Amino acid sequence: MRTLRLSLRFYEATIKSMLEYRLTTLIDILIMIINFSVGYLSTWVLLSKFQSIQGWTLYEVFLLFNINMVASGISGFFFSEPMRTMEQMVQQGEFDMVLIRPMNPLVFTLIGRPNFSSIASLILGAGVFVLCFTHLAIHITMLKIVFLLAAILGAALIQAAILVIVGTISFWVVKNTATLSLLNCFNNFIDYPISIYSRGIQAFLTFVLPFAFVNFYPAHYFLDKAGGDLFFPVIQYGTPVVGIVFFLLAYQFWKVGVNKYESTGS
Amino acid sequence: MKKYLKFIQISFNNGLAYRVEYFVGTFRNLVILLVQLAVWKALLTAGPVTTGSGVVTLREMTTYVVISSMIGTLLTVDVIFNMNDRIRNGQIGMDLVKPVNFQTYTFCNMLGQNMFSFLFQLLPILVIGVIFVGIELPSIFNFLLFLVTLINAIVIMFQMNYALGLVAFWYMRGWQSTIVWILNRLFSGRYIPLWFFPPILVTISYFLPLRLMYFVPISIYLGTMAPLDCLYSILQQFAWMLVLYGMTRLMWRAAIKKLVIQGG
Repeated sequence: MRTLRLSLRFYEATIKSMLEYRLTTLIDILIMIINFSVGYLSTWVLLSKFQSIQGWTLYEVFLLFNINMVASGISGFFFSEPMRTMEQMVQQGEFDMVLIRPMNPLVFTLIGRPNFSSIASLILGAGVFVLCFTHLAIHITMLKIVFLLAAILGAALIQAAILVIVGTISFWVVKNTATLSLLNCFNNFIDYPISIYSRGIQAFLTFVLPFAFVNFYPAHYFLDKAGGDLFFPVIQYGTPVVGIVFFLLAYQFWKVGVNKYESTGS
Repeated sequence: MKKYLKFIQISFNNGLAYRVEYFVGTFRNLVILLVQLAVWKALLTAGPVTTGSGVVTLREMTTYVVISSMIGTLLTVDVIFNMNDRIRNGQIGMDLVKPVNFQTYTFCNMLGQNMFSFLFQLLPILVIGVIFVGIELPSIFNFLLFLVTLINAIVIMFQMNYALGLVAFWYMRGWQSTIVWILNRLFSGRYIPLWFFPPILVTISYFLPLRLMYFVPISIYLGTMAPLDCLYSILQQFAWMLVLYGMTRLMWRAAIKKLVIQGG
C-alpha cells in the first residue's frame, strides 16, 4: 500500500518533468511508434509476397510480434531506465541512496524512474491485437483471452528478468552496456516463429534463455497451431510459470549482487 | 595530409579500447545474419520466386544477406553520436582550436573506425560466409563496380550523418541517429531487397539516398542490375554527394555562428 502511494508520487513527478519537455516527450513517443511500425511494415512486405513463413501467415506473425512488443512495453515501463543506469549508480556510489531507504532495494530502484514512453507500445499493441483478431479465422474463447493476458504478463516477467540480470551484472563489471546489447540481441530470434531455426537454437531459446516463451509458445496455443515440432506439447501453456520462475531466479541473482556491492565511498 | 593520416591511426587505435563492444557487435551481427538466413531459407525452400526484376534463388538471397551484413559493419551512425557528444559537452571548442578542417577531421575518425570494423567485424562475417554459408562470387568487373559503389556509399553515409550531427548545434536531443537507423532498416534494402517491395515503397525509396548504400552495391555484386542502371545509380550517388556537400557547408557556416561554449 505504502509502495503504491510512493510510486504514484514518483510517477506524478516524472509526468510533470515530461510535461516540461513536451516536444521531446512527443518526439520520443513518435519515434517509438515509427520504429515498431517499420517492423510491421517489413513483415507485411515479406508476407504479402510470400503469403506465409513456415506455415505462419501475416496476421499470425503480427500476433507473435505484438505479444513481444506489449510484454517488452510493460517490462520496459518499470525496468528499462533503472537497469540501464545501474552501471552509473554503482560506479558513482549512488546506489548507497537506495540501500538506506526503508524499502526493498529492487522495489525502490524500480519506482523511481518509470519510462512513460513505453506506454506508446501498449497503445499501438492494443490496436494491432484488434487488427489481428478481426483478420484471423480462429475461435476465440474466454479461456483463451484469459490465457493470453496471463501469457503477456509472464512474457513481461521474462523480459524484466533479462533486464534485472543485465542490471545486476553492473555490480561486478564496471562497463556494462555490452551485456545489455549481448542479451538483447537474442530478441532478434523471436521476431519470427522459432520453428524456422535449427533444433539446437530452438532448444537454446527454450531451455537456456527462455525467449521462446515470450511469444512463440503462447501464440502457438492461441492460434491452434498443429504442434508436431514442440519439445513437449505441454510447454505451449508454460509462459506464465516460466515467467515467474525465471524472474525469481533473476531476483536471487540480484540479491547476490546487492550483497556484493561496496560503495565507491566518496 | 600527414596529420590526417595520424588522426586515422589514432581513431583505429581507439578501437582497441572498445574491444569488448566490438566483440559484442560482431556477435550481434552474426545473430542477426543467422536469423536472416533462416528466414530466407524458410521462405525460398519451396523453390525460386519470380519478382518484377527476375527470378530470385535461395543462393542469391543467401549471398545478398551476407554481403548486406558486411556492408552494415561499415555504415554505422557513430558519427552522429560522436558529434552530439562533442557538441553537448563542449569538446567541440577544442576541435575548433586545432588547425584542421572539422569535416575532414570527423571523416578521418570514421575511416579509422571503419578500418577497425573491417578487420574485426567484416572479416569474420566474410570468413563464415565463404566457408559455412557458401556465397556466390562475382565477376571481376562486377566486383570492381561493387567496390566503387560501396566506397561512394561510405562517403554518402558519412555526409548524411555529418549533416544530422550538425543539427545538434540547434537541437541537442540525439534522436537523429534513431531516425536514420529506422529508415535504413526498410528503405536501404538492408534486410529486404527492393525486388520484393510494392511499387509505392519503391517510389519512396527513390527519394532517399539509402537505396544507394545497400541495395545498389549488392545488386551490382550479384549482377542482377542492368549495365545502364548501374551507370545511372553511380551518377545518382555522385549527385547525392554534391547535394549533401553543399548542404553541410551551408549548415556549418550557420552553426559556427550560433555556437556558444560554456565554461572552460
